[in-house]
Amino acid sequence: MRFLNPYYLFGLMLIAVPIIIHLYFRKKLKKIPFSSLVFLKSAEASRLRWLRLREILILFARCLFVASLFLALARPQYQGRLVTGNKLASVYLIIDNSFSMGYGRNFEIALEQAERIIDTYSPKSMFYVIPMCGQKGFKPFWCNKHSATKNLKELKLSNSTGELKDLYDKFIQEKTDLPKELVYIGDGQTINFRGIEKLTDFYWLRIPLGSNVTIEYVLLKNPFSAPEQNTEMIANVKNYSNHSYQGKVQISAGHYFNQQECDIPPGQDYQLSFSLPIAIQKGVVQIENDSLPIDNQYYFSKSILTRMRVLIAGNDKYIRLGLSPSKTVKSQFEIENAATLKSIDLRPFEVIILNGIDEITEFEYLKLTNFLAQPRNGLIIFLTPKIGRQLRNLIADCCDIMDWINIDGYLNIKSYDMDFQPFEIFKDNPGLKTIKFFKFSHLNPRGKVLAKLDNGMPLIINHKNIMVIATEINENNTDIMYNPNFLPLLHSLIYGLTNRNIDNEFKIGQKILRTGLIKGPDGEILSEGIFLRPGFHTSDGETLGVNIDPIESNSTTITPEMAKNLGIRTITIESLSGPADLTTFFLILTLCAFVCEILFLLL
Amino acid sequence: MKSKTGYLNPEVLARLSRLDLKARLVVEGFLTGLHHSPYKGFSQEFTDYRPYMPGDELKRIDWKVYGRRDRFYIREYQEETNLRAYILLDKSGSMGYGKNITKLEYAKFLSACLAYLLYKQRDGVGIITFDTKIHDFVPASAKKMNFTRILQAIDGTSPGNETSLARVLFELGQNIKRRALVIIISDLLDKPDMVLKSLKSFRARKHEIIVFQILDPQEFTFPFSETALFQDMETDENLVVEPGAIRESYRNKFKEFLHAYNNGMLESRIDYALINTTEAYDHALFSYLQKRSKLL
Repeated sequence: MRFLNPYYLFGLMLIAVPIIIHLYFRKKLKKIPFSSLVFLKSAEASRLRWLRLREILILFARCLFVASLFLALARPQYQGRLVTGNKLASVYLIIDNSFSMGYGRNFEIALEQAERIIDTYSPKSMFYVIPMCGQKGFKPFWCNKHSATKNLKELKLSNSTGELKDLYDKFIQEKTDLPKELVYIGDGQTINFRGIEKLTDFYWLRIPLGSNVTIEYVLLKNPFSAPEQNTEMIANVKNYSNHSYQGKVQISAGHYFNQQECDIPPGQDYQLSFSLPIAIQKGVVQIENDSLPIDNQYYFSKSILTRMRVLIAGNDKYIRLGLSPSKTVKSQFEIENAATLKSIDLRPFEVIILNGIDEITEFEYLKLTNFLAQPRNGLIIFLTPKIGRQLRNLIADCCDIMDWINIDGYLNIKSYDMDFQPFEIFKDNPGLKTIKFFKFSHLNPRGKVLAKLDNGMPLIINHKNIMVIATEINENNTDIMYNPNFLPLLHSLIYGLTNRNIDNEFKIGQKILRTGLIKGPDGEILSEGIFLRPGFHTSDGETLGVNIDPIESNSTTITPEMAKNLGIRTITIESLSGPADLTTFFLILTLCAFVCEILFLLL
Repeated sequence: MKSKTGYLNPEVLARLSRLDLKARLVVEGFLTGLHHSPYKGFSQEFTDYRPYMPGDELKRIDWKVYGRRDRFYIREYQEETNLRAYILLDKSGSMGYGKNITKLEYAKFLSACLAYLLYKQRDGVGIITFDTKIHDFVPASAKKMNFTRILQAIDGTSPGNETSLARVLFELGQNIKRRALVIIISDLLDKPDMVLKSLKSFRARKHEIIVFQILDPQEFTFPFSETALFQDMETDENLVVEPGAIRESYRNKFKEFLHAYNNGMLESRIDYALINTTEAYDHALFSYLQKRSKLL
């Protein structure tokens, strides 16, 4: 308990006044000697007890009146017991400013509590106020209480996801004269604690996280088939809360509108399927009645694929089958074949695939160089065990190959680089990794490795619009053709290589490189190419859907047991403080005391 | 300090004189019915003759003897008292209560009057003052000296402790062997059943009892209005009382109390007079005497 006007507490001494008055009047009460009290007692018997009680109650009411009046004037501020209570320390104050803190007033509450925490430390303590998720323009520094409070006011919700591990590591490395303490104020999403095994001097002021339902993604049902009339799409809605979500999920795209009632059990997904006219490529999926409104809308923007002309140079037998597997379904690829590139005009083609070609002529080298000068053209090379100098020079930026590449049995794909956007469709698809390739050696990647084999060797290497795949598809290596996952992999590689994104969708905080201007939902220009808020953006005539990272909607928080195991000392808002200002309470108490006194006097 | 004769209000005494108390005692038998032989107990009795001496009153000459002997002889009479009366004066703390005049003061005046009355009629009169025990005891006698002592005893009486009338009556029963007239002057603020029981036992010893219950009018009406701290004059106990709230209840209780005495006295054939201190002394005495005369 602290008082804003503590000098009024001297007024509490005035409690003595009613007591003195009471005693004085009790003495002063007219004393009447009477012959005998026998009759008075018998007459008073029933009232006597009440009169004595009333006398005490009146005295109590008067004392209460004086006490509560002066306590009210002293402006009491109740403050609960703090873990850190007036300690002298160097305090790392981490404020969770991720979007999940946007539930209700959670972020404001976090800042208020941070201020209280700062206030409870010794005035000589030092503070390092730092937002958990990076905030542009905010630079944390060690400061005193006053500056720390000031810094708090500058914090805002951030569009990026933060992790405590980096901050904690930095905290551990800090060398301070005073004992160190780290206070984290946030909702404690499990994702924030990734990579942390043990924490010391770590206090967590838990801000309760609200329940949430979010739209995780919107996908084309079959992204690699050329739609005839309608595009089949799926919206995946996940319920992260502890109770069932019952509400409506709706999609509106142009004139198209679809709405579905859904009942999603806790932790479960719900898939909303809809069929959009082919002309409509963007729209909004929306959830009704959810506690975190910022992620209740998902802005989707899809590129409905057009047929691409593909030239396969070399062995086309198996690759052609992969790109056009069905005779009944029209393929997205118009495929042509040539033994060499020498006599072929490459300009009509968008993708060239070299399979089983171990060397090119200088003329072919120049033709290919010109071809690759177009950014939306792509070259995919399936390496043969031995390649010539011209071809080696062509792919030099992508990888460096020794003279001999040995074939030594089969290996599985170990990992994909999920940052390569086309691979996102393979998320959580373990089947893809069972594709078998020959093992190659003496391949030094210079470009980005998109996939690795389980012996650590690079399999797919990418540089600009050249992609090198360290295997050859021929009669001796046909297994991959029978793997159902290879077809989407090949499609994905082709679309990724030619910058033909199926999904023109981005997350807040993501940075994209575009030559033209990127405009936000209200026409504002994104100077650094970083998306700052959800909504439809435009760039080079394309519509980009920008949404919150669904991971922020994950309301899974670390449990008390997890916190205990991590060595976290948990603080709750209730344990930190009670009602802030008790002035009103004491004023009401004063009034009550006054009314009670009057009532007792009248009774 | 008041003169010991101060209690004998001249006006009262003058009025009493007009009643010609002695004559009344004889003729109307006032009090004489209380002792054994009313007529023998007439105030003077012949004892001897003596020769007339100059200066003797002529009315005292026995003319019959002169007729027989032709000499003047004077008849000598011996004063004689058959009545022994004891005045029991309650000097308990509660008797100190009174608005203009305390009950004790009133009782003291009344005692003095009665003592004087009895002295005048040459009855033996004694006084006993008491509260929880007997304080002053002046044995019954018709002598002037005794009367003086009685007045001194009355004069020296001041409010004392609690009342224990029943106990005192018991003690007196031990001390007063001969039949006597017992005049009790008290507020009787004691348990009525106990007091009446003692009076009955006293009555059983053939004593005649006259009870004057002295009360202040405020004790009847309880006229107080504001909340006050009431202090018991006998025990010093304090009690905060709101008079308005309990007045009716008090009055009823007090009526019951008086009613109990009244009934008890009637049952035991004890003369009982309820006197309040606003009544003049003579009025109190007259009313009693008249009542007494009606009863006889």
